Amino acid sequence: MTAPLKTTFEILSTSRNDAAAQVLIDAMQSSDATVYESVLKALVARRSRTGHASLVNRWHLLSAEHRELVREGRGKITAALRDGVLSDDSQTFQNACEIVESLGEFDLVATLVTLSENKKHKHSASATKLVAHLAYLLSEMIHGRRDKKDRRNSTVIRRRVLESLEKSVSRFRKHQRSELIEAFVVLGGSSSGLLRSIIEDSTHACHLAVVDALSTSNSTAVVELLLGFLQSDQASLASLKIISKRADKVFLHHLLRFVGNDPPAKMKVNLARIRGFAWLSADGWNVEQLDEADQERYAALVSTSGLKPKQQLTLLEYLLKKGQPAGRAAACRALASVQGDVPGEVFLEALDDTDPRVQAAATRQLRDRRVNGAMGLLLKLIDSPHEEVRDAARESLDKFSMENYLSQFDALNDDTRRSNGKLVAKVDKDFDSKLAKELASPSRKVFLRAIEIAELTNHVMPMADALIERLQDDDHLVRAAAAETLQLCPTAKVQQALQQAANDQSPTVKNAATIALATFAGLQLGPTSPAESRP
Amino acid sequence: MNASFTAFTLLAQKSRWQHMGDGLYRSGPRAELSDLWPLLIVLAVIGVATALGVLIYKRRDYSLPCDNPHKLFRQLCAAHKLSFTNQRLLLRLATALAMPQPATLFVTPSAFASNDLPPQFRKQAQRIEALGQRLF
Repeated sequence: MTAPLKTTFEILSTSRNDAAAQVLIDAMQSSDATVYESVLKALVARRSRTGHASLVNRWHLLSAEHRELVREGRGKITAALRDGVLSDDSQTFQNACEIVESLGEFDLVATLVTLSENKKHKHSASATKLVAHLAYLLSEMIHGRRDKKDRRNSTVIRRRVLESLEKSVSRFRKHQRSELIEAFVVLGGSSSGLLRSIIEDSTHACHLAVVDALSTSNSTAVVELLLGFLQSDQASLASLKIISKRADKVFLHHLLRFVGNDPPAKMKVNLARIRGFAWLSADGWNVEQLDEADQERYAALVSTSGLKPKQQLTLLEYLLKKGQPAGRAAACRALASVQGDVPGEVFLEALDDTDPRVQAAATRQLRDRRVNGAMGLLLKLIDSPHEEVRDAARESLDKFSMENYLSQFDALNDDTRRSNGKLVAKVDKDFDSKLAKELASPSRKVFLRAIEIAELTNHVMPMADALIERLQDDDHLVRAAAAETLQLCPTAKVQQALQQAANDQSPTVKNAATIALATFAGLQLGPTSPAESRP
Repeated sequence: MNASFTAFTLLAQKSRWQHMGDGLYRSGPRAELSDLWPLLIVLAVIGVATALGVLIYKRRDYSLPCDNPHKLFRQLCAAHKLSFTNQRLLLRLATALAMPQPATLFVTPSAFASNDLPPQFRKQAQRIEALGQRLF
């Protein structure tokens, strides 16, 4: 644009002389592209109702770029839009509606609601649709999906719009526009006391319309409202019924995300009150359609819901067979909390699953579900190449701990001591450290018991350092027992320690050390550090 | 003798009450309307001058809200620093082209094309074209 033309339009845009608006309106007929574009900008900039009205009237003739220029006038052209919405001319009305929708002119909701309620008006149906759409747009705007350039305060706008819609709700008997009720539901959300009271009150004129809206609307606000019920202390039966009625995939997806893998206690209580989900019997429903993460959540949802145990088992077994790895593992875990008999084959098959997570989950079930041959399987699984499976097996065999073994040791016969000791050494990850601790005990009795355990479980070699230390003990019987046991650790370091012990003041110790050293004669001794020679 | 002397003395004295009402309302000579003419003329001159001043001020003050096509035309002419003769020429051209407002010329580049000028402006075609170049 040239400088003189810029000057002209600057004056036409800013002049307080109303004649400028008419000049601009006349200039809308201009065939000059630059002039035309400048005219649009100037008309938008001017606070002239007639100027803005001319923009509304010509909206359908404007190109996409020119419409963008008009959009710049958000908030300025509201009065002209109100006139357009109330216009009897269908083209003007349609143009105004398009601009209102495009700009998100929520200030016009009150006007549109009035128009919508007047069913005799020829634009009533279109106004209703627009109100519903604006409510949806505003709801999405409140819930985060908004234009970054839009700096309007969505909370204030919501309050104003909701006020109009609440008035409309009170007039429902008269207008019977369920779409307006849906708009109210969409915007009301969990913070609307009126909405909550309507849900609770089945005799309310709008109850059915509200339930219908809650059962079908996919707006974020409605979904959040419904999911919010699950978190309340004592969700009403009506709200839980609505949740169970929802059969759409969008809601199911939100529900699964909301419930998560481990729902909180309050939610579990509410979920347990839901006896069925409509989506389970919906056409085309199949758990395989869910992605891996959702399958995992699905397992948690099924197991915490109030579905019959038999149905829960069926659903989880299906997921265990057909689901994706995380889903299969979750199904296997969820089966633990479901009452009823699950055939052992289900878990035995899961043990052969390609995914170690599923194997681990199945391993944990073996003992709890009393699967035949569980003990043998668990002992085998301790040697699994997968750490999580080994850990799961150890968890299931937790009674074979060092602590339990020590507490029962004195009551066991030699054979049982040996067999259980070997199991404990295999199951208890910290067996060596716990045994070393026992060997360091100041009590002679405990020390001697520890030596016996080390011998029974063939764990003397890893205990060589602990035994060498006890060669310095004040108790000559402890020193003698240590020296005697060390003959099972043929290393240079042990030999050196025994040679020193051979000079012990106590003849018993001397004798034991000498015997031990004699067993080393002719042997090829290992490294100096016994620890390095561990099997 | 005494009596005549006293009388003489009294005759020489001024009455004490003679000027008692002087300076009071209607005590002096009555003012005539004709005496106020000079004052009225001065006031009228001041009034006319003030009215003219206000009129001129309003005419030139473009920040005042109004709905005046001619004022808008003048505002645009002032912004483009057009001479009085050029303003006159534009006004005539706008009238000849039956424009709803003279200011419309400022957003109508085609009006300055020499080929489309009304016949009476053929002689001034060059000047009008130059004006068009200046405005667009």
